[in-house]
Amino acid sequence: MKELKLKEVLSPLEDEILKVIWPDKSLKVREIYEFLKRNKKKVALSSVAVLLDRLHQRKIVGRKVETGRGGIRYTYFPLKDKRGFDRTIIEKVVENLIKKFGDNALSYFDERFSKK
Amino acid sequence: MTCVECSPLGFFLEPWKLGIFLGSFLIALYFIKKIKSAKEINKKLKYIYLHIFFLISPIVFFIFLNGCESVYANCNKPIIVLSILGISALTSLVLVLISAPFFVLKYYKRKSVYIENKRLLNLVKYYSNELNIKEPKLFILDSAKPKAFSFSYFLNAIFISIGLIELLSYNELKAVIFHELSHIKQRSPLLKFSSFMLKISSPLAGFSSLISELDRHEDEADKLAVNIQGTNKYLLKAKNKVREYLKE
Repeated sequence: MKELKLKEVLSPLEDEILKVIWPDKSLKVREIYEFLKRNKKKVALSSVAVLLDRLHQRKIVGRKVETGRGGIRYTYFPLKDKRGFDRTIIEKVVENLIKKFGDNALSYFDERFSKK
Repeated sequence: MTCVECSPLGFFLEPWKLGIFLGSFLIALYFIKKIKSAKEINKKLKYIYLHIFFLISPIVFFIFLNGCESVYANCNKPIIVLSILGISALTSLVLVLISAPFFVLKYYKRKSVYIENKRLLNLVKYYSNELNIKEPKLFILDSAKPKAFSFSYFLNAIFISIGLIELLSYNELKAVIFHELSHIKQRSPLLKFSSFMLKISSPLAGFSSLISELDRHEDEADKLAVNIQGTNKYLLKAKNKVREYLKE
């Protein structure tokens, strides 16, 4: 059920990227790309880079600039633990349901959870 | 006894003058917001210019109107006000053209991080000497999008983004840097800049041959990168990778 919810809000590749850096890894774009390539058939470095940037803009992952022998790179890390992240997704899904269905959604939640 | 109407503050005693000043200021603020939200470089540049224009034009208008009122009694006549507005707009445009590149450079420098990568710095230094151009400063843009551009107005500079460095191999990055060095040698950044200003300020811009001139500069920049590296494969790979990224 949780897996299904993640995929509804994230694209399949975003989902896979997050699984690589959870719970608390701090990795460069190329490192995440290499990991995914080992486990997935087709993935482009540019796709991984774009999606990490999007996840950063959506405040799902953080990033910092690191300089070293290999030059200058971004390192990405998760901003929330899995529980915190799941909560964010649930909140967003619920908000969207309320936006779309309004009072119907609210009365459904009320009936559903007051029975419990 | 002080004459309130004579002081700079007296300028604002008339509602229409205060209205012009405040209106311009609010429009300038609006364009600051647009600069932040614009995704394309051309749009950002346009909004930077418009912001500066609306910021300084009421000041220029105040100077010209004050000058007029100190000499001539009827400066409040509509035709005279309109003429002063027109002259102020023209003067502001010239001031913007002269001063805006400073702000553009400052804007991008603020978004850059300091680089200690000796390999890239030595590369730029060596080939600037080879091409007989003043060594450009190398700035690394804190941006995940693959970007590279050069600047040659009052100083030479090359900007490349962290996203570009992550995406390309070292040889592909070299191809991009050679391409930008060629632009500096040909003074293309100044030409692109002028072409851009022409496009936003003149409805007749399409009749200029600037676009074909810019295309020629792009071809020359590609040729230089290929000549130095002895192959076009790195440049082509770099362009393909950037294209793929932008398609996502």
